[in-house]
Amino acid sequence: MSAAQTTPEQRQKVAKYVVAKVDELPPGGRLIVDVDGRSIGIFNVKGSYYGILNRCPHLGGPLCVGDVVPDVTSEGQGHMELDESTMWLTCPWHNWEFDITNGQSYWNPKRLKARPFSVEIEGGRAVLQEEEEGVTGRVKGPYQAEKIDVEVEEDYLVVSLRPLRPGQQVRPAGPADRPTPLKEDR
Amino acid sequence: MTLTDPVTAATDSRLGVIDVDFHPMPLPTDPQVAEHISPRWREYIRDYGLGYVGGGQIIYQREFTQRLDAVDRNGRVGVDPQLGIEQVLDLYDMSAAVLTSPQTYIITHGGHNMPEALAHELYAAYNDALAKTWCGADARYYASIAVARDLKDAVKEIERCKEGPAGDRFVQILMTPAGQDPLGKRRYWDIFEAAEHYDIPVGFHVPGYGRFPTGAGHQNFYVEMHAAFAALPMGLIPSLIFEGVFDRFPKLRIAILEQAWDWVAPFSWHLDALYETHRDEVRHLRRKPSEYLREHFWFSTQPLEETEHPDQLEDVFRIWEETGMGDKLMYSSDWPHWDSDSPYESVPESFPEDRRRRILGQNASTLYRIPLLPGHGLPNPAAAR
Amino acid sequence: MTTALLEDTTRDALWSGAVIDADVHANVPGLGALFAHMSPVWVEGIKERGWRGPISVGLAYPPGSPTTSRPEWRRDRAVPASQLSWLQQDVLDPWRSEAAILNCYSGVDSIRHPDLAQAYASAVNNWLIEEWLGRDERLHGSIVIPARDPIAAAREIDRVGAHPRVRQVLLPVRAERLYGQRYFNPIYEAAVRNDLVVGITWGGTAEDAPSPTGFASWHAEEVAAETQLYLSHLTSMILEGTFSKFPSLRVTVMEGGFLWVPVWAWGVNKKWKGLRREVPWLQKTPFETLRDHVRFTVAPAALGPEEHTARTIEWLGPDNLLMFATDYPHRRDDDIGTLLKVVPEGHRADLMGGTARDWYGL
Repeated sequence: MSAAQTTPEQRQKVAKYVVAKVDELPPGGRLIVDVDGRSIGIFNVKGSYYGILNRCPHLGGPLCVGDVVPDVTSEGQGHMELDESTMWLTCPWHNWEFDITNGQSYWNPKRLKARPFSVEIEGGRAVLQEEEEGVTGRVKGPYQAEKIDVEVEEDYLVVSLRPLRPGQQVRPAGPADRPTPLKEDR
Repeated sequence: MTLTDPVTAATDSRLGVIDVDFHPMPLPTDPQVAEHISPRWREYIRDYGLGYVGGGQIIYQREFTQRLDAVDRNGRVGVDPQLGIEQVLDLYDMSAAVLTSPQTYIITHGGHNMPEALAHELYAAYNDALAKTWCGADARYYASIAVARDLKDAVKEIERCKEGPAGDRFVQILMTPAGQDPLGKRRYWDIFEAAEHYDIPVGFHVPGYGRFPTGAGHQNFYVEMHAAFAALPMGLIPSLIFEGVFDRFPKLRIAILEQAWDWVAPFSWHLDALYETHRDEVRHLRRKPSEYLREHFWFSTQPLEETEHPDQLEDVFRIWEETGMGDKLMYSSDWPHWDSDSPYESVPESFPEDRRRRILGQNASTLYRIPLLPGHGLPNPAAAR
Repeated sequence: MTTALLEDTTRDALWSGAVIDADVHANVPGLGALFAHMSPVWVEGIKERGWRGPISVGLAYPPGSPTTSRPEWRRDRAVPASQLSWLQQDVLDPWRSEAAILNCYSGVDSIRHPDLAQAYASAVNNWLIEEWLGRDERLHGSIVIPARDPIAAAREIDRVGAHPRVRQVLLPVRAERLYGQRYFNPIYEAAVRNDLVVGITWGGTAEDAPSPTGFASWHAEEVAAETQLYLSHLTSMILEGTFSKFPSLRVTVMEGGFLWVPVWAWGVNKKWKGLRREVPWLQKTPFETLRDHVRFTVAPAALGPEEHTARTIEWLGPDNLLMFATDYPHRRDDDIGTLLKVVPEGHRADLMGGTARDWYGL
């Protein structure tokens, strides 16, 4: 879901947060950031960016710490094939597979879905403008504030969020505050 | 049999938590174990390995079946007591975690395929590692004594641990549920005698190291193997009951760990039905099987039950409680494994307070005689109201 | 009280609709009964050696064990259930069964000589077809196969499987391997080719102890533990993809109980959700797979308190998976009246005959 597809009312309620520079997130990489009381994972899968709430809908595990893997499909007993057109984010606890593009799990598609977040690249100029107008907020997390200040021309990654209820926080049930080492993805 | 209850009750605002299944997973080459192994056997391990370990034929979901966030900064799993403190003891403000080390009998395959002296030394080394490295790191860690059930004089390890400096920290004897023979057989009765003597339970944890993993040979898949965890006690428990172990050892307490629990109700009906038709065969038994089950067996919550529909779960717990097992279920995290559970999720706040209190810590406190620490545990929503 | 004997009640008071008995047994009275059905070289070989027959029959059903036969159904020292007229008098007629599935656990699995195993299986099948199925049209039979040679087993299935009242192939629960393993695929191919159900039944020969925990001391103990073997086979078949390869394959579990099924199936579901990638041919949950492909006879039932039993049966699912059986001549102290009370009302006719009729194509 991108900002362009939301209603004007929804757009008013949705806030945007800069989370990192584009070049901090090369293909295969991930970042886990704290945004306005939520822990979110941002992934670069072959040049496309996806965001997922860092809390597994199953039992609350730190979903975004899990491995990102291609699908394994089968036509029947004894047949197994890799299908890289679908990439799964797997929960580091119970291994459940979630479509990284939309959070959808497939063994029970009606019931369980990881919450996706839209991630857009915005041109450096546009982002700066919004900052001056107070629309785009700064992000807490492992990034230095000064990185955002450096170059006007650089592209930024921006996250769109609806505000939480006052006092609400969304964190994984696991050790959310421990610095998470970046992992190499396939 | 009634147990005296030395437990300090948790204050109303907190529900005390004890984790009854927490796994250190060091290798014999790790200093915490190696320091307790003599040079002769350290070199032997280096040159000859550990003999046939039975495993390795099925490829696990990860090398140490770990959850991915339980890997420490050195890339290791289950060797750092501090990580366990952070991810379990402190995170959930626990009163205690009972360390189980099936690792010991996993890597030794029950001690069958190596020189006996090496096997004995490895079991002792692991038990000492638990006592020194883990229990020494935090007063909330308690340990199980791993016993090589099928080796001669295995029972002496129990005495060595209980009479040693860490004696009070060893709260359980731990064995594989499957070995050469069913555990109820006479040749294992010295272990039960020691358990009664030291007043500690005998715990059983997967995997089995019997002759074959199933009565029809080997499984092919890890998912299949995992699905069989709850099958092992179906051989263990009839043996203990029908052999009359509990008539001979009326104070004996058994913990069934990571072998599920809600299969017990229908299994108890099955045992009672068999007892009725075979009364003459097992005329030495004084009571019905279900009575022994209710009185002598405790179970951990792992692997956590997930019903097909959420509204079935309450019936599962209700039937368990109405079967008389309400005092017998104990929360376990199974850290650092992939199917590990948090106490919040496995004993949700939607449950009645009494049930949560028992499962989170009270039942374990009674079984292991570990006090719940006042003012520690999960917040009690009932108290807040 | 057991209602298999219709002791304190009548058949119609218990159930007035159609009855199909999904598990009754024929026992070989003695090797002599089979001589007419095997070639002379085997008859000679058996006599010459003084062989008394497959050993696993007596191990599965110890002669004096209560479960081997109800006392009311014994005739002095004769082998129980070894005459058709007894089966008719003891259960078929009193229950007015429309049909019954006749199973002969004959212990072929405990014969190591590969050729004698085949000959013995064929002889039992010939005897069963001629002297039982041929003499009572209510009877629909299961055939036996050599345990360690799937190719020879498939041949035997093709040899007799086309008989109109052969409806099932027996696989004893004790075996050298788990039944999902592809080694057994020729058997499933032949069963499907002949439209036969595969019936997993009590008995068999394990390679070592019939339980991972070792050799039990007591028969009651051994029987108690056998649940783990039934569930291991079903787990294997589901996860190995046997039903994916053979989508029309039907399996019946006999003498294995059924009240353990929902809790175990939930467990397999749960693990599969995280470990799907290891067995990607499974496209639906293990429990759904079981519902589509497996049915259970209700002897033994080992019912618990009524309400607990009712809930447990509900968890089996919206469709009835259970089939009434007396398990003649084995003694099972289950009250069919209670079972009828605790199954959902809409399932009762299916329990007593409807499911078996569909499952076996009767």
